[in-house]
Amino acid sequence: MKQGFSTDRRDFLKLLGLTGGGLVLGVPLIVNGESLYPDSRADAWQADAFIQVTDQGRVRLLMPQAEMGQGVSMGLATLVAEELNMSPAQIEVQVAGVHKAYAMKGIGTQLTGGSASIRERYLQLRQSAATVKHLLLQAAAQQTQVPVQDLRLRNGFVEWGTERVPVSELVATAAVLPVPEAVTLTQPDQFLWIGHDRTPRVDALAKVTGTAVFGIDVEIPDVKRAAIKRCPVIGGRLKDFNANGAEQLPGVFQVIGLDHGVAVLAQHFWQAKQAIQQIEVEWDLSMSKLANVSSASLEADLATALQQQEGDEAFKLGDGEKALASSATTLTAQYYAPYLAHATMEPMNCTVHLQPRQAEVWVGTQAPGIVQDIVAEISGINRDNIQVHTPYLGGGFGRRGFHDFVAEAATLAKAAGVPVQLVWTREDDTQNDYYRPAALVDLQAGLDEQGQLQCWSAKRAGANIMPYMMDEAMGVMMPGFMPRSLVNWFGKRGYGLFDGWVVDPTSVEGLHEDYSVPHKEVRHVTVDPGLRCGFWRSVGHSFSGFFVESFMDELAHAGGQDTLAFRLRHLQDNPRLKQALQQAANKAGWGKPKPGRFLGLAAVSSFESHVAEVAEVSVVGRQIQVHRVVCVVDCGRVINPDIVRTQMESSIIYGLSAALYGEITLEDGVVQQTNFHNYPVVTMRDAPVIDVYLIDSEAHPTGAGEPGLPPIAAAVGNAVFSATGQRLRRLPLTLEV
Amino acid sequence: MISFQLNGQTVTTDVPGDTPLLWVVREHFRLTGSKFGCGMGLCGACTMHLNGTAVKTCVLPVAAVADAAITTIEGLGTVDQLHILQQAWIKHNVPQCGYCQSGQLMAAASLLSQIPDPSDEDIDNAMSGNICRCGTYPRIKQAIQSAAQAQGRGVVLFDPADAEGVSL
Repeated sequence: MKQGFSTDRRDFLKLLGLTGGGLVLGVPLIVNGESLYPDSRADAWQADAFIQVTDQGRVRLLMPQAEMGQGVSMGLATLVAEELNMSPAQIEVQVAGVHKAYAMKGIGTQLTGGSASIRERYLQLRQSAATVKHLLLQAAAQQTQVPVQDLRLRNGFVEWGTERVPVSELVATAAVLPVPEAVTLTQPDQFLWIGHDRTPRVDALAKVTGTAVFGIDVEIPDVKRAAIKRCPVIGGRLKDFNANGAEQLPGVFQVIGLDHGVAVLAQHFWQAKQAIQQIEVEWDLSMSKLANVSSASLEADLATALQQQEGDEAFKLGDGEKALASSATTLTAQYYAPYLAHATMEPMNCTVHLQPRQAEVWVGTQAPGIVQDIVAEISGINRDNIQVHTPYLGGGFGRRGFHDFVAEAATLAKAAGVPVQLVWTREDDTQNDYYRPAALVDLQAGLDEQGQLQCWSAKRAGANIMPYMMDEAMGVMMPGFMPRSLVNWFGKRGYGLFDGWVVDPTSVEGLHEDYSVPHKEVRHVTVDPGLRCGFWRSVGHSFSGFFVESFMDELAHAGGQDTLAFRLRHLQDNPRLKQALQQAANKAGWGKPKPGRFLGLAAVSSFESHVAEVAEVSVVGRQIQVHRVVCVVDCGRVINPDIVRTQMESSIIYGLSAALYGEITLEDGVVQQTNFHNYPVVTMRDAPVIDVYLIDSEAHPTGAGEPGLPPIAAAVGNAVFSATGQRLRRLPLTLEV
Repeated sequence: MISFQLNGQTVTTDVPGDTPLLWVVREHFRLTGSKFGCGMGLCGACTMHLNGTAVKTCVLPVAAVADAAITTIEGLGTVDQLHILQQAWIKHNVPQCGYCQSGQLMAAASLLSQIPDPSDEDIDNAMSGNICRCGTYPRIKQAIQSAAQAQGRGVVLFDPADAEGVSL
């Protein structure tokens, strides 16, 4: 999930004073002896926002990010472990509460997304841990009278000669020492943990024994479980309902009408789920923009918009029209990608306990600050008195950056006056997502007589994510003193609020950046039928990667060139992607496919990382089988090599589900897909063998959670072209008979 | 009243017989390792063993398991005594978000008890009803193969005590 802000936006937010203050490293925010951090404990020295050392010698990492499978808990534990010279397995990782010290730079709130966690925390957490190390060594020197240069911190002890003292005996002294302004970080050639796989992920044991706690597993006293019967059209309203005896069913506690549905609170979830079926409902669709929208007309609307509207300029370099006129070969093509659901394995759920002046929320979220804000608004409780607990997320992929289900749970808890756990069914989840927006794009390019690209243009029609994001997030981005009504007004205005922000960057990202072409233009036509949109793993790159890398293949063929060589000659300004592509081609045996197998390649830079993939495919009838994918990634310095590999595998398979099967369609505003039988995903049977190679790099670490996704659909589509001669320009990839 | 064996203990419940076993185990007996994913027997997150065989319990009425033996992930192995598949899962770095993994492990354990040395095709057949959105399939396959081999030779693939003790 990309953070939705270009550099310009960041600067603009700073001007407005909207960004949350960055962490001041090593400065414990202690006021009147009371820590301002949400997870401080009496038994521990809270060195700063991130690290606690207890009087029992345990080291705790207060993790500012959400663990949704991407391995961030291991990644961040590794950074701390490296500087403290101990195993990540010995570090107790605890998800931190909400505090401005945990905000991501430039966003102003705590967010796990944009493949940014390691990139942003790499130096910050190492500096934090190195500060703790410095203070522990100073404390030991003071207590033992041994010169500090003779002391060494290792495995939770400060050692010298044959003697050692446990850190538990040093925390009291360390806690009152002056914090150094600068600390020395471990040199990369001394790394024992960063770049190695010496110990399993810190969450592995819990996840193989069924003891890992997800949001849906949270159990609090007196909780009522809730299910909601909702309007089949998002945005439709409840006109009237007849509980029809639902309130008399066993276990049922209360039936509650909501704006958009009817909820049943019961002792057990199954009772609630059964009871909602009993209820008769009348809906009012007059306010729903979506009620008249069907997929067939939607695609036609996108095509018409591309044809009739000039759109807004998102990027321009040189004079493309002139270059096109003088090109030896020109090519145009139209590509389409549909709406997609996230389909996390754990359906959305949220547990809320409201008390008169405080509240607790348990929710798998990628943005706990937004949760706090939403619950504050609904309950009227001051947001500083709302504690957000983030258990493990059963998948996020961007969906858990949006919190309609939190608002529902808080509304129900307020209405019923009891603690509530709301659980969505798979049907709720599939039909009420914040979908990856559909996109239709016109691509055009011109080649000179040597087959060199002279001009490139991309014009995309589709909806934007930003208005939907701003609607929720404005509350945490605006200063706390701003009146709620004004915050809501800003939120409703969406991204159009700010002058000069003509095009939502996530709508056009990836449409032109990777290759060197002297004349380029990207334009955007906003067409939003009203189906709400959100961040979906790799965001705009999820469709741009398919469009651009398929079209590059078309251009290579049009110019009679090898598709690898054609790409390489246009990558002179993107050497890291060039290297990844060259290496992927070598590893995959480019040009030498096995009999009956066909290769396709694609390479995309996203989230500051660079990934090339080669797909090995066979085609029987209309059946596309992906046998193997070779993937090469350059994400800078690697913290946990095997976790980077798993993230590439994960992105490839997630992207393959979209490439082969994924499509959300509408009929009169109703999402037609409901569950895994009509929204199928890749299973064991169609999962390819995946070989991942990591480029050895000393560059600053960058994203791994998403960059593996953008190339895969194009790599498969290009291999299908090589197998069949059919150029598939829409997703999911579907062969003609 | 319906009685059955849950991880070796006899349990009794008075819920209506059409209540899916999954919800009885999760909410009445508070074993939450088995997960709700789809409610239609399509994703396998709820997989448990019924008399040793993997079943989807989100669509299995509790009445159907009267007097039967049910095993959940909590009964497969514990931190102190990991099942060979749990060891293999850690060795091969399988779990990501982890939500589907209880079901994956139960499906795999059922497979290994029936076919101790499964082929790739056996694995595909046995495991294709268990969805993982994190895409851990290639590693699940490797882990099953490695557990199958280790099982025959009595090899330990992973011991938590070793990992805790890793220090340099």
